Amino acid sequence: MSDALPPSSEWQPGGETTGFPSPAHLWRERVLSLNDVLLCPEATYFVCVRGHAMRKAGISDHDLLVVDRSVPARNGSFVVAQVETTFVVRRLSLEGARMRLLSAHPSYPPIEVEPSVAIWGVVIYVLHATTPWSKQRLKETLPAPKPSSDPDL
Amino acid sequence: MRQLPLWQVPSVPIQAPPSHIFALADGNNFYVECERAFDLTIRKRPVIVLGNGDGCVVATSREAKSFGVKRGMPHFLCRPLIERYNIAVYSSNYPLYQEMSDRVMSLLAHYTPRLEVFSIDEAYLDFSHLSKEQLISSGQHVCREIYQRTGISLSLGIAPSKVLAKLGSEVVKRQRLQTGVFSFVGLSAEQIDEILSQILVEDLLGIGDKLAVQLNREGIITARRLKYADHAWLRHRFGVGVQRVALELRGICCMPLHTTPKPRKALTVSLAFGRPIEHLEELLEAISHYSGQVGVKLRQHHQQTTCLEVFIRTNPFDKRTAQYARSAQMTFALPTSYTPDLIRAAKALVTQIYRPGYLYKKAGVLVSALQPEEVIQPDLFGAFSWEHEVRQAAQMALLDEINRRYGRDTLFFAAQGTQRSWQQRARRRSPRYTTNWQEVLTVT
Repeated sequence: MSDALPPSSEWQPGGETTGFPSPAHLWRERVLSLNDVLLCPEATYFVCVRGHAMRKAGISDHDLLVVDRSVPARNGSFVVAQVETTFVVRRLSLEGARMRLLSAHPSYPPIEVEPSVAIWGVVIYVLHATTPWSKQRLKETLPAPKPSSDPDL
Repeated sequence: MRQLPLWQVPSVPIQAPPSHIFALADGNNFYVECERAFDLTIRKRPVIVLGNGDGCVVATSREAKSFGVKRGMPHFLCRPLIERYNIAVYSSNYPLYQEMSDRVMSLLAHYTPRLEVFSIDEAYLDFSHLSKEQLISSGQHVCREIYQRTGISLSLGIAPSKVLAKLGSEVVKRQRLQTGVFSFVGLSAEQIDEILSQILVEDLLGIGDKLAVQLNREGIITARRLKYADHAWLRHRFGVGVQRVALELRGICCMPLHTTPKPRKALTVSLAFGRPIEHLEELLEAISHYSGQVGVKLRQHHQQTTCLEVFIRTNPFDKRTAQYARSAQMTFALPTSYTPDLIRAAKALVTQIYRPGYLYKKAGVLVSALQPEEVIQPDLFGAFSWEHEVRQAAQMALLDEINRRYGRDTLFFAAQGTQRSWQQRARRRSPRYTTNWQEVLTVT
């Protein structure tokens, strides 16, 4: 991990120059942050994906999900739900009083759930690595995979 | 000072115009609800959270409480209850609780111009800007929004003083008010007194156990009695603190909102060991480690100490072993926050009070008479060297910076030990979902 922590000086953005004043100093603006696209940072959590149940819907193994717990789940929402003691990411299907969690992979059958008890939060963004380097970075950052009974592995 | 019999005190309280309105937001069973936020299966199950190396109960859910588990109970005493009622047991997960608290507080800050974060799960909101009619609906709005966004339910008490506001949140809990809000504003004096007569003085903000016993001895049992006690007499007999509480009960604000914390006068690091310690060597290691932590905290707050106290004790719950408890303290000639000074002093004190043949369960280091770093009073009898001071300060600054940047305990003193097998283990701690990438929630 030592290469991830380069030696750094105390310099921080926001200060003034010591020699010639920066002509742009007064125009310094707040830098863009990914937090700006959150609906409610206080209700937002990172969740990590393991397995291929939603691969065809664009959520792959090792993706990082941004989950908002304050957003109401609707028919078709990607949700994080708790099924007994494990958490899953699925597409919510509401047909009248019947509530099902649908996968996007033939090996994962739909899960019937009790309304209002199982939904933990709604997926609002999916962070998907597109280069080998970023894939490696995500893998190193997120929890090591546990031995699982994933039928597709 | 003349003591007025309570029944002769005029029953008309001093009425000040309610210029301030406070709301106390108190998280219901905060630690438990933090655990429940990440495990829906324990939402209906009784839950307890253990602290201090899983030694005793620090938080209970409402269900667990109803089965007889109380805060402060040793873990082993509640084992039968845990089994009989299928209680879910957690070790305390302070990183998670602190982060969830920050979420709640940062949401609360949206609803008031001034917020005083009083504890990990309590905050005072300044509601003075709201009209009487808006108070309850605004309070309900706050509770609803916070619950929806964080899963933490609040009890909100609204009143013209902090003591009453705190009482209001207590009323919400006792009466299980679904809206989460109770307001004293607009109630008649009779209605308020009816509530106060059901509250014991020891449950009031600012009245500790010792004071409560003294008050009880004078016949002041309920908050209503305290409210109508002669306050000149209260001040003379118990001091200005109790008088303030009495005035606050009358709705007169004596405790303003503090948006920044006061500098601390003392700080303690004391922890129970994971297993009983018998030998002096291990005790010295533990006490050195605690001294190191005290040093870090002192420097964080830019403070220095002149007085250090150390205590050791056996396990009072273990009736089969011999009991021993002792403390000792010393004074530094010059105020210091230099870890080697603290460690040296603490080790000397422990060596002094240690007696062989006992099984020690807990130890602690306490520093008091704290003062800001800048104030240096050179010793009359020499021994003060400015260069020496500066060198020590630079060393500690470097140590703290390294540990801040590369993680706690990257660099530490040899005296603190490397194995620390006495350190308590939290065996049932839930993952640090929000502060550690390796422990985020995983879905399949």
